[in-house]
Amino acid sequence: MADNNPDSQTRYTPSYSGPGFEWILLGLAVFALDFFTRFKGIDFSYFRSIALTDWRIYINGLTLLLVALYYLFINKEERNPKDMLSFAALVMFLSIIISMGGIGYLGATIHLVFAFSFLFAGLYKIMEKSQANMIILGALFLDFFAFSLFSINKLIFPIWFLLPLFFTKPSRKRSWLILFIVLFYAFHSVGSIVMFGGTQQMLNGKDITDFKDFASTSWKNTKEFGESLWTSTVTGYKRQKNITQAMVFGDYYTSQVDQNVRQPLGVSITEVKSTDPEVYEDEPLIVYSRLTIRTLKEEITIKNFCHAESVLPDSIKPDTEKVSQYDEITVDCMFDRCRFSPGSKTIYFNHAFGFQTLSYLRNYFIDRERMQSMIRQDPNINTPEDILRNIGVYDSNPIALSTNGPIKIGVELEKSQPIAIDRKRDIESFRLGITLENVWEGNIKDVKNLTIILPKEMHLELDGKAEGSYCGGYNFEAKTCAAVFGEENEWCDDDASNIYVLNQTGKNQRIIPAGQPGISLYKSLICRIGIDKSDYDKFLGNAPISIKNFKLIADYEYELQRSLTVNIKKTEYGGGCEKIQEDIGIEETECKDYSPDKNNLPPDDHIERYKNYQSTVRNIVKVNKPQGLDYLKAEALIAAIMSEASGIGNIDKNDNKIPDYLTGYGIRYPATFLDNPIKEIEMAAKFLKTKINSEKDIKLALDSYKTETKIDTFSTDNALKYYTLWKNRLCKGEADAAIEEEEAVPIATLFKKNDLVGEDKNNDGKWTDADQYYFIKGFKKNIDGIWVYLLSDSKNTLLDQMKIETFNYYRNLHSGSYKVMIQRPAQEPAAWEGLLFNPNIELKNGVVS
Amino acid sequence: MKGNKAGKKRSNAFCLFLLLCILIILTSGCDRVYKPERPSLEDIEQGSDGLIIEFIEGAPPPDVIEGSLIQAGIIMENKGTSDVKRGYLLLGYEKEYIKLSSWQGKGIDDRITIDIQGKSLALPEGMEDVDIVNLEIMDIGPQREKADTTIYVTVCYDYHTKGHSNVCVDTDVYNLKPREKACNAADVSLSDQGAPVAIKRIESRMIVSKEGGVVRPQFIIHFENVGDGTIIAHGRADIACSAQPLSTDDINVLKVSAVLSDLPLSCKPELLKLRKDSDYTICTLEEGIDETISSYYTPLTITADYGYMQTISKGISIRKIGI
Repeated sequence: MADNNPDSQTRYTPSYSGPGFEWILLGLAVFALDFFTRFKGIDFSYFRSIALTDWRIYINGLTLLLVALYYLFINKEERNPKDMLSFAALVMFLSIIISMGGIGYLGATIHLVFAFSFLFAGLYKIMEKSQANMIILGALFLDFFAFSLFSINKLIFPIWFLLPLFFTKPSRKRSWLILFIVLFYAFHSVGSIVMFGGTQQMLNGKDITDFKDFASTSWKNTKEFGESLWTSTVTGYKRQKNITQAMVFGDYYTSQVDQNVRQPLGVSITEVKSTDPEVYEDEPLIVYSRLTIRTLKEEITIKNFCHAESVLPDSIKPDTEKVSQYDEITVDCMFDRCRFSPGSKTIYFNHAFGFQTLSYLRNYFIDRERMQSMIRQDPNINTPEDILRNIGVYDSNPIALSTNGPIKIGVELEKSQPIAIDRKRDIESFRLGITLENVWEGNIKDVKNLTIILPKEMHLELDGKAEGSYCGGYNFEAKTCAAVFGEENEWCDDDASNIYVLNQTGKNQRIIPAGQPGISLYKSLICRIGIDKSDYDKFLGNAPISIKNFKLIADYEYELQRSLTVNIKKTEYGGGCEKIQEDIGIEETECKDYSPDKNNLPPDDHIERYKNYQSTVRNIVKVNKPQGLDYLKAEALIAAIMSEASGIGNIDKNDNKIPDYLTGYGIRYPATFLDNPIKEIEMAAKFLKTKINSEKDIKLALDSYKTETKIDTFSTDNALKYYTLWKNRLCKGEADAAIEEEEAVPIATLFKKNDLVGEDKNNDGKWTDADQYYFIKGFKKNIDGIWVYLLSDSKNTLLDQMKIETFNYYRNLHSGSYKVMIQRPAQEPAAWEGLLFNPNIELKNGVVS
Repeated sequence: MKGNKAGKKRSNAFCLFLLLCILIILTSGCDRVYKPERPSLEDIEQGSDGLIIEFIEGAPPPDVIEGSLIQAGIIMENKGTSDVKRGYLLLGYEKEYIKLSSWQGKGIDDRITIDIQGKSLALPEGMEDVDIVNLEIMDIGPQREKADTTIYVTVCYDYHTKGHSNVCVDTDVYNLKPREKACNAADVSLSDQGAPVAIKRIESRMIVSKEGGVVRPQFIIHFENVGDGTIIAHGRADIACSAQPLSTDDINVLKVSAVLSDLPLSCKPELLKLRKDSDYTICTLEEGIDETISSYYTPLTITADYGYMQTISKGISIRKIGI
């Protein structure tokens, strides 16, 4: 009969006093020693092959000896068959490990000693011996075989630390430790990292790095969770407080998001990551941001930026992308090697896209006398709302319905419904409140357009006597449906609507004035709208209750920002960036028909700061494809405009000498540091395409730029002077170009087409998954005039080309434990599409010396 | 004891059997009584309904696609005793989403006229009319997958309620005459009269004239709105089914008239503005009845003329094409 007395059994229960906390510390020590002994266990395939073929391991005398010892000295009184069998299995397993040479490794010996010590001194005291034996047997199997069997990094699951943690005596320290461990694993969002098993017993650098990565991800996620919790709580509270205050004081108008749209519309960032969690200073850094885009029908353009504090990237791909309906894109941001000093760097991704949000407000109108009569006389009607309820309308407090997207448009007319129209008045006037509310975690950068669609008989009322001033100083223009939505549109009806479009050109007031950072919370407008007496009949129509819709359309530019932190490490094997960084400066271009005056250059501090923007400017030049200027002159023109117009005339640095974005570090608007320069550069670049047919047009274009941007401090003459200075600085000059060209040939022809090139990261002399390698598919000069290798079949799919200097660097630098290998195809490919290569460079033993 | 009980049971069963036999014998000699299949006027003048309106099932459909053409069907049954002549049916909808194409055979206006006969001996179930309207569903606009809207149907029509009751004209109010009276004045309760406004109760009073010689029969007539619509003034259906102003004199007003035998009564107020859903008016035979005449029963006919307005609605969801 089973004994139901819990005290009579020695089973583990949470209240049971088990081994002390010291076992946890010992387990932790075993785990720490693994970093030095590099003990990884035994490859299971090796175990399997031996276990199946070499039966001798099962009759190892040691097995019998240990069993005999156990019964002779330890367990004389209790001769329980379960205990004996489980212990025999454990000893047999130990015997196998030893037979396979496990004891020969220091790491393995430490593990075995700890396992049996914990068995005898710990587990035997708190549970049945057979149970304890089986637990240790399982743990040993995991420790020695399972990690290689299941391709799991054993450092991520330190079994000899976790086992004592579970079985030791409950204490507060242990509880905290368990909580910490649970959070450690819970906050690693992806759980475990799947590793590639090795055949040897040694942990390699990658295992340790992966564990560090795992630990750092856990820590980072924990920190980010805490931060986001704090941010969402505090900012959420502040946001709600602001909105509540605004609602009380009446300058916030509500809306609700259209729940009929099944998924959020717009662009959302799903992931921001680095291809490598740890990058050496002399390696290129590639980070990427993954975006999900959803629109209903409309096509949207996404502009992508990235930067690392004051460092601009060397390439952003795609920098602009047009997408529609449902799409996912990945934006790669690449920084060349040696762009960063060692340390932790924050990379910011900014994704700006134009989007449109519509809001609909349904309101009910009734003749005032009719309403009053009904309230007085109809026994079922006591309030105006009852009139609506009487006809089956329960929407007595209509809330604007905003389409799904980054912003909500709140619209309110009158709270009480239906709204009475008094026919005795000459004009019925109402207050139309509009709120543009930022509901996503981004920024409304600019409101490009705001369209108010009123019922036909309603019109916007002027603020005062000022011509064209509506809604608190804004300029709205009456338009037709065709003018706003095109001829094809079937949605807008001129017979039913009065359309007003915000005009923000010239000196007209803007929703977001120039130089302001945008809308992070909300912005409200108050408009007066009215109906003339002569239109009452038409407005109220035929039915007792007239239903009217008010529509608001906002076209705006929204910017999402997300950052990530990358650890830039100092190069361990000599070399580094010290020498190379000296070489990085302004990139020059060969120029035609121009002899630069190298004595007439822009100020040094301008040149110094321009380095940060040059690649951006060059990208923009490339995108805009100037018609009348070559790329050098186009670049010089933008640099000149930047020099003269940057910061829109404002100087925000203490020295007050140099314009903002040649000196600035985001002093005015740190969060949108890149915003203004990029905008300026883009604006300047527009003139390249549209205004300039030859160099003679530059002055006209600059004048036009000044007129359109309204930068009063902008001097066309100064800009022209800067243009010449920058041409001198950016143009190589014929002599320089010739020398450079001669030197470029041997570098560019180091490798041939189909060469397999890469780093032998684990230094085993062959290509494995642990290595980084590429096929060379070609080489060419890119738009900046830099020679690049075109790569394919790269493990890193984001990398499709790399500067030749980068390879040159690898070739020269990684001669320690990393080495660059070249593997040539057996048959030499045919001539390489006219590209130069130097056949005299030979490889020695397949390795570039 | 047991024997006594059993004997009593047997005796009861026998009595029951005997009673059954007698009933069979008595009823077997009866002839079949003629029961007319057509209802009587009393049967017809019952119920609280006037015009009953409802949408045809599935018209309009609950889910539609923008750009499509749909139909809405409205069934109107006149379940009351009054004919609807030149009534109005008004279709209400959001012009943002719906455009009226046409009524089948009745033009393209939001409002159409209706004529539907009520119940009568010749037409005991009343007339039924069905009106179908073709509607065009508009584009719901960008960035939306679905929009909800509602179609309303309002009917406004003139109607009347006619109530009859035999009332006692009691000429000997204080029971002073030696001869026995044929009747005493008493209150009468009535059931609904086949209209949404019902005469619920008639209180009879006999007012003795100061001058002597006559008694003036006076009736307090109680009316109640027993339908689910709104009473409007007679002749104002046109205004009610529009956006035009309605005054307080246009809502919840009955025009009352009464006739005692063939003598018209004077009702005050003649235009009865109901307080809440029910109210009363007092109708008096001003010239009075000679008190020397013996008390007698005579028919009292009461007529209330009014208009009536009812609204029904149905929600529809408009979906975007291709979503």
